[in-house]
Amino acid sequence: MPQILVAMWLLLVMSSGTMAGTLEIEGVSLNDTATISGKQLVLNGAGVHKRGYFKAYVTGLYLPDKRASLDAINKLSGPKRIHLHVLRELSGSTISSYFLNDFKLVSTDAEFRSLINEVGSVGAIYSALPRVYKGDVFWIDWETGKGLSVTRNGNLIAQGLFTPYLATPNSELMYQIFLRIYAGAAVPEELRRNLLGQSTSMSSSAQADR
Amino acid sequence: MGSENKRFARMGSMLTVVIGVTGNAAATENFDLRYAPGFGGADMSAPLDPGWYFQIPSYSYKGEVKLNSTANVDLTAPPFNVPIPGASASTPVQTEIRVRISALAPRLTFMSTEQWLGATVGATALLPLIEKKADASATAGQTSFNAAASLLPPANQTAIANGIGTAVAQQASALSSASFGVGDLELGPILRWNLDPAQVLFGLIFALPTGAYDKNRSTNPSAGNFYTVRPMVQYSHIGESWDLGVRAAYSINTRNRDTQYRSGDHLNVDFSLMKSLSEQLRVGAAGYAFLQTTRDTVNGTPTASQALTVGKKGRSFAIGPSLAWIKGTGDWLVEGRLLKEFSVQNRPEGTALWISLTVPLR
Repeated sequence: MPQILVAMWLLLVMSSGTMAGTLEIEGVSLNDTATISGKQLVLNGAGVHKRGYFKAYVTGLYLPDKRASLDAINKLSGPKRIHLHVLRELSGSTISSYFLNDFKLVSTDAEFRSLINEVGSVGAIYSALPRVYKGDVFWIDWETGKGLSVTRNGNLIAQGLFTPYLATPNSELMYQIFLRIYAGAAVPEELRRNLLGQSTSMSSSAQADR
Repeated sequence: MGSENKRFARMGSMLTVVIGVTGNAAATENFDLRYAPGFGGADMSAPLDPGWYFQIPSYSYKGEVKLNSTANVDLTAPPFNVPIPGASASTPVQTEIRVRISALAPRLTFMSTEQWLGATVGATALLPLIEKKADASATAGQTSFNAAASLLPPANQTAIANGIGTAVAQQASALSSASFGVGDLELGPILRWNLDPAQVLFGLIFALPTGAYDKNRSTNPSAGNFYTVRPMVQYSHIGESWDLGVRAAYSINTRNRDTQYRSGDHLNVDFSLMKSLSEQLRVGAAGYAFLQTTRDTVNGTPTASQALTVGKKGRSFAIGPSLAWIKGTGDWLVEGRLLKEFSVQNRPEGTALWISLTVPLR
């Protein structure tokens, strides 16, 4: 009897399109947990971000605890991670323009002015990348006491104000704006709901059920 | 009498035939439209994110219109001066006008990150290079004479009929012309609401009479010495492997100050429905509807060419295949569509070929 139960459990897991501990989206497996400086984070939600006609990247949001709104996420203390898994080759100028346009759309004029140096530094990082490739993984992390960091394929990026942490007085505001860009009102509603854990419609299992 | 017959035949060439229009005619001055139907294609669904965009659509149209009319001639008046009170003749005329238009319409669009009413704000400007050709021919049918004119000897009647035929052919020939040059400037603001995966655009376009124009030519690079205001709304949606774009533009024309002719207002609806065969290639269908909503008018007595179009409203529909190719993730987009017109009223009927290149400028 226990063997039957195990078999049934395995069948249930495999038919859901996920293995225990991962969520699959567009062929990308995202772990249920992540670790920043020894602190474990949970996957709050994930989805695919389309840019025009193309699926550009899979976005995952890792937090100390699950939260269902951006306000609640901003109030949550502890490290946070925006995980970007690139789905297609993009030029550095393309992602730089994505970032700058998105930033201006989600920030107020006062915020933009107060973060002009930080924005310049991030823009310089993107512009310095001749291309990003399918399969590249970017982590945009926040760690209290250290600041904001950007990692590409496991390597911390050190450039400009990122030494490798962006630790200016406005760095926390900068991270909040990153959250708005990747998980806020600037992204399509379905993606936002998936990232905030309100839906799993973008998971491979949900897509297969359609 | 023989010399008189020759005189009647020659006089026909001096005759200004006032064509009383019966049956079908055609609408908008010289059939001209500032908004070429089908202008909106597969590019309508491309997200208009902040930045600069350069587009260069090319347009090639070939169509023809056949007009039935009647030439009613008072034979007692000059140049015939037939001394029989009340003598008149009537000749059915079929006029065929073949229209060829080739154009490049380079367009520059800018979308800012500034927002108003929840939309990003931008602007667009277009300045076309146009070649137009009109080739007209007319055939006069059997001339009939009223009771008074029937008293003329048969030879005189034949000579008069020949004269009218000559005049008709000459006037049709006068409708033939060709022109090439820079057309009218169009510009205006745009608002874009990003409802990813959909978007809505609203534009208010102003067309200015900046192109070359001569009222004595039937074709000109400019549509005429008048202004057009064109509000337009565009909706698009990008689905999983398909995309849809629809644009409705309503043109309101002022009166042509050189000819006193006012082309009626009209609605253009363009659509595009595409299926993605790969990340680069999309195929589908495109088309348009053109519906004139108010009749053409003219102050004073219409000229012979104005008489062909005044008082009428035009309509046309078209549909055809569309193909689009995207380089990279939108480095540039090239598309083509071939649109065959049908169910046309009061306008030339033909086929339009659009080939467009769109380049986001980074």
